[in-house]
Amino acid sequence: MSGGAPFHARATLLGLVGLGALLVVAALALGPVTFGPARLIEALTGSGPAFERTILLELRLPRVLVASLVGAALAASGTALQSLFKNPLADPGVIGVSAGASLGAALAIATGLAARSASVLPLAAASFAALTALVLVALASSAAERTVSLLVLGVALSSLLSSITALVVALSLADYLVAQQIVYWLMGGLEARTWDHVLGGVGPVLVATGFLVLRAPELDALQLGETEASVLGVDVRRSRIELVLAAALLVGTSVAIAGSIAFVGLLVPHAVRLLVGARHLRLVPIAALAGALFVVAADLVARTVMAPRELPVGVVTAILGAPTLFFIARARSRA
Amino acid sequence: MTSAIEARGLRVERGARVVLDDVSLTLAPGERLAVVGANGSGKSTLLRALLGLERLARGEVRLRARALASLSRLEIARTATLVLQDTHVEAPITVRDLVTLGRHPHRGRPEARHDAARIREALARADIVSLADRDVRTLSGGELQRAHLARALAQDCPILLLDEPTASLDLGHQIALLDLLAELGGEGRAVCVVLHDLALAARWAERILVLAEGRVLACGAPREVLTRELLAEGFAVDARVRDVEGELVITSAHARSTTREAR
Repeated sequence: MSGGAPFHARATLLGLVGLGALLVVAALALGPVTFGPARLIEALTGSGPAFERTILLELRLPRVLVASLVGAALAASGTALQSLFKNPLADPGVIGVSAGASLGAALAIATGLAARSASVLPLAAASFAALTALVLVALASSAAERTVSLLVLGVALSSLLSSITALVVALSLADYLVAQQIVYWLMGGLEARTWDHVLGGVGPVLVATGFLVLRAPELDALQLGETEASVLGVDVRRSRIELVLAAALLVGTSVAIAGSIAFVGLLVPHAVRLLVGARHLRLVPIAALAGALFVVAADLVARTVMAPRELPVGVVTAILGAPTLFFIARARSRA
Repeated sequence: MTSAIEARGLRVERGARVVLDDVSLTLAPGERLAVVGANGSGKSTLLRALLGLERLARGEVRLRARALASLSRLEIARTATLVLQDTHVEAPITVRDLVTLGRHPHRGRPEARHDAARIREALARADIVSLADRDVRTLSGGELQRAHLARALAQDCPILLLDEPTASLDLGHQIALLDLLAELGGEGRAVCVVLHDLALAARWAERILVLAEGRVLACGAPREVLTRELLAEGFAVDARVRDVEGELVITSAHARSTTREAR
């Protein structure tokens, strides 16, 4: 790394925008019905057949948007959690926040509350995610060595919550339909996403990501460690609670609209940090964009690679994510 | 004139252990104070306590006549800064990014218009202009220490606390650093530095505070404080203190006890 700045925010951003445009076009064009460029434009401008327009605007576009929202949410929250806890492994999945959201959703379905209103399930997922995050912060703050204890606590909390979720599933087996609904929902995925999912997710994701961007300087300070951050004027305790809640809102929303999808929150911030450095004013938005593209790409692979059968998108993010993470870790240890 | 720092009867406990006990000190604007003491005598804890980073079991700290407890973290950060001993950074940021963080307490305030100038000055004074675009993770220990010093300088506080800032520096940079700290004192800033090297402390400081097992053993001008008796008591060493052409020289120290590390 000699000469010039070691990080390349502008080039990365331009690359992602270009790649994003291509991906979105591909995601709209490819599927059981394949659109060539001319047909795609016709369908979008309304001059083609009505069913083609329906496929694009009612099936594929919402799906692309939900994938983007979920990817952006997971990557932004992963970025914040990693800096906040000064730990590269502090992914929403690892620290139990996703498991909390899943339990909330399972409870909402099992108790029948989810059937009453469409907003109950996302709310339950988000508030259980937040609750999990707060419990974790409280437990981690009382422990002496924070980064280590956070991971241990997170893994423990995650297992505990997952087993309670399993209990909820087991208890609801008497009513086959309810159990089926919970299991189907827990598997996650982007099948049959509608504009309702888009509208439910877009508000919280934009607000919480915007909040993280606004608080970027605090994240910059916090990643140096608690004492450094305090010396720089950050009220660490308050800041940590607020930022964890924002991250939990992102994870909760993402679990609520697409179930839990692994690896995005861990992998994307890692990769983007290597390219653009760790100033959060750049890192958070670029990671969110990269996360969106990653999930759109993963979903495209998931529904085309074994067509007409679809793979769960979480399987694809894990298959793409695990080796990439391995290479990043190796590159880092060599650097 | 109001004191820059006024601490009275500080007591810090960690579980059953008393880390600081009845420690009082005052520091005037422009004054240079060195804190010395054997390992584990409470030096770092004292610096942290002065910034409100330790829970006080007893005692009170006032920064420029205002009680620490009544100040917000941002107000404290505009008044006093601290350079830590362990300066390791894992995040991929540039030196300039790190130094820029020193301006965080001034965000949204009139002083923020001086951000660029303060950052430039800080890089120059810490002699790291050529490192500004380097990833901090690629710096040597001494370079990183100077980068943190530049961060503190950019913070532009009337009070500076530094925990063993010379530890990773070569001799040339040690002297340059202490000259710089003296210069900062000349600008009216109160500077309090934990130093391991007693001769360096004697050369640089106007007053030396000696801590032993969390208590103030002595505090005063280097010549009054650094005596054979005190070194025996505070550091458990048998040493000779001589005046060679106006400078204190401490020689032939050998440890009295092997259970306590001392220099």
